[in-house]
Amino acid sequence: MKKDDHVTQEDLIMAVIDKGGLTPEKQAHLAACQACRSEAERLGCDLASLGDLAKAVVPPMQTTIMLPEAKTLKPARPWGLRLAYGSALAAALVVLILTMPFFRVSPSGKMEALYQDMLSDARLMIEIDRMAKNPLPESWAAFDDEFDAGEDDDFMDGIAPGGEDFS
Amino acid sequence: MTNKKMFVIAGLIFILGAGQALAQESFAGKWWRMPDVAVQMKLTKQEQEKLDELYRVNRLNLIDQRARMEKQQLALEESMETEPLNETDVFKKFNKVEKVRASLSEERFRYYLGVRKILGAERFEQLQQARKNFWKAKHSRTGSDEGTASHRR
Repeated sequence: MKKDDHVTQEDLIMAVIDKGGLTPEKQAHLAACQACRSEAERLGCDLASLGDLAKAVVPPMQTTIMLPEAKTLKPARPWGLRLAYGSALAAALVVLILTMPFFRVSPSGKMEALYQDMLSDARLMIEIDRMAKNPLPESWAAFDDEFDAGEDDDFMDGIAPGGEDFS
Repeated sequence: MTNKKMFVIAGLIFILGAGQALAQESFAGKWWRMPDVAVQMKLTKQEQEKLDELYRVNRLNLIDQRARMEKQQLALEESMETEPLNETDVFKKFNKVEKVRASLSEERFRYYLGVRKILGAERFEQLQQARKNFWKAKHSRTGSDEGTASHRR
């Protein structure tokens, strides 16, 4: 490289970024040539001022950047426990299937319920019949019973002579 | 089996102190749901459903009427216990009781009429006859004549 041959613009940028990237000859020229050295220094100053300018122009960051929280992996259930859970589930299913018929209403159970309803309804109807026949309070029914006893033939025979007695 | 069960029910009703409920106007329970009866009476599914509805409405009304009757009876009892006795008030309460009795009796008869309408004349007669036969059989089993005091009441 001749003394009058200055380094190129790319070499000057390289000199600012990484001086070691230049060939020894170019490095020697930069050290010897005042013009090239001055140009390299000016370029360095421009780059530094550009960085400061960018910092001043860009608005400050509003949000806080946070790294995602590292997931903690649960340890897998041990095989013994898995087997126990599986067995319990299977046993429950078997019990459910076996007892299913007992939960169904069997025809005989249905009839039994029907008879129970009939009996319960008969009680209601007895009460309704009693009320329809004699609406007076139940506590007064004793008077009626006594009166009914008076209609009984044996009862009447006991207190008064009947037609047969005169025959 | 059905007859046996029916006799058990009838027996229980006698034990309860009154056998007249099944013997007179009242029909106890959903007899149309008994398979033997449904077959003998040739009841259709639609007729059974109609009887279900008639029964449901009638029993709800009867339960209401019974509650009304109990309230009026209580009022009459209270009036009777009042000293000095207010005869006018007692009669007023008694008339209310009588009024409820009439509506109770009417509601009971409405059910009887409803059954007659659903079954028609022939099957209604068949039902009546079946009931008579039941009571005859019942009395012959217990050794009493038809028309015992409990039945006659």
